[in-house]
Amino acid sequence: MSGRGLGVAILVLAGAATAWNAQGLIGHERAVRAKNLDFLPSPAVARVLACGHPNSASRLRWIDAFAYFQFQLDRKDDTVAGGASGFERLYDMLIGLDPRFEPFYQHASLCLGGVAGRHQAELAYLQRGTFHIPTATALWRTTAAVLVTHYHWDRDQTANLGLLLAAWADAERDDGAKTAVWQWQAQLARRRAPGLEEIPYWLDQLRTTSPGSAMGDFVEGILREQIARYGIEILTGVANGRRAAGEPVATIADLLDPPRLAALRMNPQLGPVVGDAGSPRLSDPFGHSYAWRDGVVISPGLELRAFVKAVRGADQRLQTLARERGGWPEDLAGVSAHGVTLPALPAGAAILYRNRHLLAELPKPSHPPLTLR
Amino acid sequence: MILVIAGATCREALRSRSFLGLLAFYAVGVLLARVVGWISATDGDLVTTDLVLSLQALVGVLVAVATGTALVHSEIKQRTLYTVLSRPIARWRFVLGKYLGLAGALAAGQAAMLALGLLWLAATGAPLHGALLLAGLLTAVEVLVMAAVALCWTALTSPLLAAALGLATYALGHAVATLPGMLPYLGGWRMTLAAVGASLIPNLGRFAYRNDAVHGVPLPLAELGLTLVYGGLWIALLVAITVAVYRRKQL
Repeated sequence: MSGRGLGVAILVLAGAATAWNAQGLIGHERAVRAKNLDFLPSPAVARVLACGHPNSASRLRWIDAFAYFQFQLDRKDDTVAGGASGFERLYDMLIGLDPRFEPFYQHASLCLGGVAGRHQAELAYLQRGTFHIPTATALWRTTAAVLVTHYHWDRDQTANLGLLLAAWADAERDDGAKTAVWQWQAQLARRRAPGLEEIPYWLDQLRTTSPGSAMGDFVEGILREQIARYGIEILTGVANGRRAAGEPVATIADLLDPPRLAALRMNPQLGPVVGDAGSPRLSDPFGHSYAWRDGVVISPGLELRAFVKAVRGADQRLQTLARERGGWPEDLAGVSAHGVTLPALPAGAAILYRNRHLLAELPKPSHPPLTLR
Repeated sequence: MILVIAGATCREALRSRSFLGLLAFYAVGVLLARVVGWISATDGDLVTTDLVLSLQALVGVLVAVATGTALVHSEIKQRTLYTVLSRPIARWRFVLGKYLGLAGALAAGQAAMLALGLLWLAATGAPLHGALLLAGLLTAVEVLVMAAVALCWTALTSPLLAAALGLATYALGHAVATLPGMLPYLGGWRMTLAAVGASLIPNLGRFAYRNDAVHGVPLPLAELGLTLVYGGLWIALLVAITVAVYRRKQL
């Protein structure tokens, strides 16, 4: 073979190999990935294994664990072999490698408190965070939000809450930040509308995530759910008021009743009424108009969110069954025949079967969704 | 004469394929470090900076071990060593010249890597501060210690085994740094044995200031001075051992 021929052959083979690789890397749809955390070394062993690069090792391990977070959002059970908590094992190792990296504590708080609902463990990590990084404002704010939202310190432990806020203010470096601590407390008091108690906590959690990430979508979803439920509560209150006064409720537009909404002390930012004063409309935080169905207020966005969760659950069942049986169905009809019950379709929604996964297709909202960031 | 040998060794090392290949590998790694920063949900700049500093150390150590173990062996293989040793030159001068030449090449490589890494960080918007320069300097000292380790192992064993032992020393050298926290779990003679064993290995954790530098933790001047002296001490010891071995060796 001549030198030129060999050169051409190398170029062709390199092109083929690169294209092959690129095919596997580009244009992937986001799918739920299962990840297991059964085999994580203890913090002390991890430091030895890191060979002088604990920071880099912790970052790479953390990024690799993102798949596990997505898995947890659907499964909500982080128990690993031996009965320990996968999240706690992961964060103990990561913090052991680099205790000064703030996102580890923020993620621990979000995963343990937000996803798994274990707020005591969440507080333990937040406390470790404020110990190692006393100037981490976000960790202090989340600690205070957890204590107020889930342990009602503003009502039951006012003296201790005062001490915590004083410690937070002490830890802040500049006067502006010190003042912001007390402003935070005042802001919290204003947001204590029934049904919106957890909003400050989730807004803090939202700050620790990036838009479009699995965790970001999860927190936005929780916020929208709570705001939608608050909207339903307010509109139901208006409907009850009208019924009591003998005024009929025929359509959802009948509930756009400013005097009654004002009487219910509706939160102007998070309430169900959007648009300017000249043309107000009723919209849920997902961008769908509230509906009046069989004498009940409905949030279509909330229904669609429940539908998405149900499809994800069905997909998990499908993956488990397919692995057990060693084969995936050919189409959507085959999925039902496989023994997976598909959820009922809300108006305008559909279930797709692509790349061996069930996906929910949703109708576009009629209005822009509520901006949370 | 030492400087002549050092100059020739430095030029040879700078031209070697393994040196240039690993530098190219570093450049690709640094570019990809930014991609990892993008993947990271938050604090992408910090993640990228960590990886860039780690790459400088890892590639530097690989260059030191690869070049250090091949240095004298290639002279023996190509029989150029006999031309040098047939002249009236003491073997310690030869070994010292070799080490200084290698150290010069590695220092140039480290400076190039640090400059490239910091430029890339600045170009992609990551904040830079003086601590990163200090971290780069201490990483360079770590690499020079590893070059002395590689040279010493080459004097004692074959080049392939010396490379493996050099990398094992690197892992052990960092494990030694984590030992103080684990020693209390051992009691009595086991603790003493572990402490004595660990004392025979250079504590490379002293040079890993990079892990603090990314967080902007300052390094006290006294600590910097002590670390430089510590590095110099180990280099002197390892080069002295290498000289002692080559003085007795039949070449």
